[in-house]
Amino acid sequence: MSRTRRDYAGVVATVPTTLPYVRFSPHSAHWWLGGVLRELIVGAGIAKTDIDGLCVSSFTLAPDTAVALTQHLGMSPRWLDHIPMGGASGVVALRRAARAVQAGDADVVACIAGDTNQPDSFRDTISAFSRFAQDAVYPYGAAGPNASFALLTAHYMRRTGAMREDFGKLCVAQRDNALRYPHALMKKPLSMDDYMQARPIADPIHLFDCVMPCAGADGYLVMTEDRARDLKLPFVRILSTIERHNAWSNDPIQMRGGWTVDVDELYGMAGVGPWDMDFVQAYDDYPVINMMQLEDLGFCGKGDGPDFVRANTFTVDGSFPFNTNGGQLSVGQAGAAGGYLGIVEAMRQLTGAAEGRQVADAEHGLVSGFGMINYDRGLCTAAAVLARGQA
Amino acid sequence: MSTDLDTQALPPAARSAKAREFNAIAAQARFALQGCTHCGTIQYPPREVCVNCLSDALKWRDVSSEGRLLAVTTLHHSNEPYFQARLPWRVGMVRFDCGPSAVVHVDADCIPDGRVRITLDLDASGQAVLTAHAIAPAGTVNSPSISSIPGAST
Repeated sequence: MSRTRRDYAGVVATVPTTLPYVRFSPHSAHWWLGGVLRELIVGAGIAKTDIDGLCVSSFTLAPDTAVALTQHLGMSPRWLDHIPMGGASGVVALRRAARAVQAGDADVVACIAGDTNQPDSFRDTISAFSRFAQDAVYPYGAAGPNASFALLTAHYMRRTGAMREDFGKLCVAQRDNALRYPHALMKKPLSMDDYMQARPIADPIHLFDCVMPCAGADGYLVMTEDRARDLKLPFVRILSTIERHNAWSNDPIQMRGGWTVDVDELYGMAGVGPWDMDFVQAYDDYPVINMMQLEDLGFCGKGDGPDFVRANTFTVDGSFPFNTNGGQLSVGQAGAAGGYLGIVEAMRQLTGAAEGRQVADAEHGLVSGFGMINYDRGLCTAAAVLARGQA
Repeated sequence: MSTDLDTQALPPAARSAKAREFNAIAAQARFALQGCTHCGTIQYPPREVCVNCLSDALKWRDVSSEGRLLAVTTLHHSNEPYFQARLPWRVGMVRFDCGPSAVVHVDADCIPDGRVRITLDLDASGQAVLTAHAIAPAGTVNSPSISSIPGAST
């Protein structure tokens, strides 16, 4: 009894915007979110009052929400959303905003994500990240996501035969890509030796398997294709999207994500398959999640991630361009903006705006999101297939 | 290791009201998890309603404390002074024979995929915590290859 989902015809995403990341910031999340909104308005050549829809993601905005932000930023949107889905926020914001514009509930939606980072804010975020984390994870070593992903990684390695070198290959390639992305906080090349000899954090996770928390903001606009053409803005089309939460809850430990529930619909709705993708922007909070996404999104079979990694190269000019701006592992993780990093990079690649890291003739790209280790596993998965538009 | 580590610090004590009910279970030297009196589901972490049928008729039910260690890690970094003073520290994920999975402290003699017995004890903050201890499989009691894992520590 499944109904055919309506496509996203006539709706586009445009003006990928980044407020450059910094390691620590004295400003609050409001400063970062206000700043990226300002840059979106300048980039689009519109007035603040032209934005009648707003979608916000942030971990450090408390006690405020998107509601308070409207007053803080002097906006009066007729459509407002607050998406607390961490690494899935960027794709989920896109699909929410696209439907709002398509239905006429809003004309121009600004999707923004941003966080500050101060010396104690990361500990504050993880110690009270969720009720289950507080009750049943943080008291066990207080290591935050490093411990949770160490357990998933250790288990994945024993089940699939993945070696540290396989994760290292992805990290090294992403660093190579990051050296071509001006906003990346990591500016030095990373060698396999550097990766292998890094200090242990939580076995088998070592330093370069971990993202560096930082401050920053990213955003984009969703509007009708006609509006984008009027404004002469390069845009991308949305061929399909999926999201899923708390999938496979009976798996004793996470080996697969919710993508596996919806992947056929993702490509079916898009009318293109995994091998039509000119690049993949995966959510890379830890390399094991990269491997899981390669499997769950159909680039290789379940458990074949290590072989896939050994058979491909992941730089911008490689056999499988992957996290072409360096991903969070090399750019930094600006809180909820980490969930936007892949989508703004995909938009740049598909509008020919990726400068020194442009994937040649990129027509189709996949963006994947993964978020929220509520207890023992990531609960939110999302993905979108985007295509080059013509301005 | 630096010498200014805070050995007076306590482990994280914040818990929800439901999770604090564990403390009384631990004080009675019982091993019990939340069970649904309506559909029989055993669940962890503690919830307000049954994860299966959404009934709020939940009771602490004595269950088998045995399970399997699914994965283990040795922490070399912590965000809390209590653990910073005690690194390296082993934690793991177990699956109880009665169903749910749990993050636990892990004794040095535990190995991945091995059978474990989980105890419920009060930690230095007076909060109930789970710890996995190895159950030696038949014929390998006191096997030195299991009991001498380098670097392992709790």
